[in-house]
Amino acid sequence: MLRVKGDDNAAFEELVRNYQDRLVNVLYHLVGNQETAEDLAQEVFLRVYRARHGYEPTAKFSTWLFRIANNLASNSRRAKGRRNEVNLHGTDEDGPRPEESLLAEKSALMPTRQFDRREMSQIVQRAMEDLSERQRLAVLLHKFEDMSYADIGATMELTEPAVKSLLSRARENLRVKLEAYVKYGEMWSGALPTQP
Amino acid sequence: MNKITRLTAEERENLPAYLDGELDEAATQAIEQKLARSEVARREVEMLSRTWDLLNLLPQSRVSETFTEKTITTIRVSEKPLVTGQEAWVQTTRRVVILSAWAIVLGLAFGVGFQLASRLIPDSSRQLVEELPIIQNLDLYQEIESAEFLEELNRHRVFEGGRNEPQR
Repeated sequence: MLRVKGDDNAAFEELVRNYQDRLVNVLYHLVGNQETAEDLAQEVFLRVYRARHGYEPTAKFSTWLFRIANNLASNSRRAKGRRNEVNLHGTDEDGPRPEESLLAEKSALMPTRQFDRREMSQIVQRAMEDLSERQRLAVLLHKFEDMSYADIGATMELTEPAVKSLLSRARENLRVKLEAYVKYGEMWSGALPTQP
Repeated sequence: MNKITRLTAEERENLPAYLDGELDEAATQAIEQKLARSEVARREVEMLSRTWDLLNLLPQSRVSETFTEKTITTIRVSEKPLVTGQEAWVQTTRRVVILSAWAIVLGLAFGVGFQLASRLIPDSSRQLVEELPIIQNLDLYQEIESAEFLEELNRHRVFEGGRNEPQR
């Protein structure tokens, strides 16, 4: 980032390449749509570029990056809510299809049968979508970005005890939703992740 | 302690932080003691851990192939208005300089025109100013009554340094 601050365009391109997948992945799980996630990621990089001269390496770059992403995602969700276009269960073209959603809901009622990997992925995704936005972001940052509670706090502008409490509630909610599927999911959870 | 002893609300809230290694030493020891004695507690920790592992099944989104190029290009294009903005600033400055130059030229033209006009066109006010001493002494001059008498006085040098004897 310090090279980017010095107007090194090649360094900026390198930075985009290094963070783009991680950023889009988190944004995808926040907004539930690949296209919106990429648009937001593009806006995040634009803001980083514009703010490059004022960047001070006092905190981790990733906490700064994901804080911008969180703010943009929140604004996007609010704007979407105002337009009354909220798709609470991700039935857009990038999420599960309606019949798949129905299947997942049916599956939730009868967790005794076998699930394939795709079904299990949908069930886990649904459990994540049921979390509050803040809980979801905290989980994503901890699980996929391997952030400490302190870094999550810096990203979400929360104290460490607040992050601890947030993650505790999130993990308890996930446990309640997913406990019945643990023995089926474990067959797949060690496999490579699926593409959306 | 009974092997089915349940965790307190506080201990339960501490479990995820315990699993994440984010608890302080005292709280970690308290949880470990509880886990050593309670099967229920161990099961709770195990389920938390196993459900957490299920998140590995979440779809991992990756950017489209054109994302990097599109992002870099978009940023370069969006930065152009800043350059254009700089050009606009230069243009504005140039416009201000041109307008200022015109204002100076017009001011000079007005000044020169005023001077010429004031010299060429008779001004009644100027005549009044020039004749002000006469106007101020008009009462005195009127007492003299005739120009001939005045000239006589002048001939006798009445007006020269207090001498009032006529020169012979």
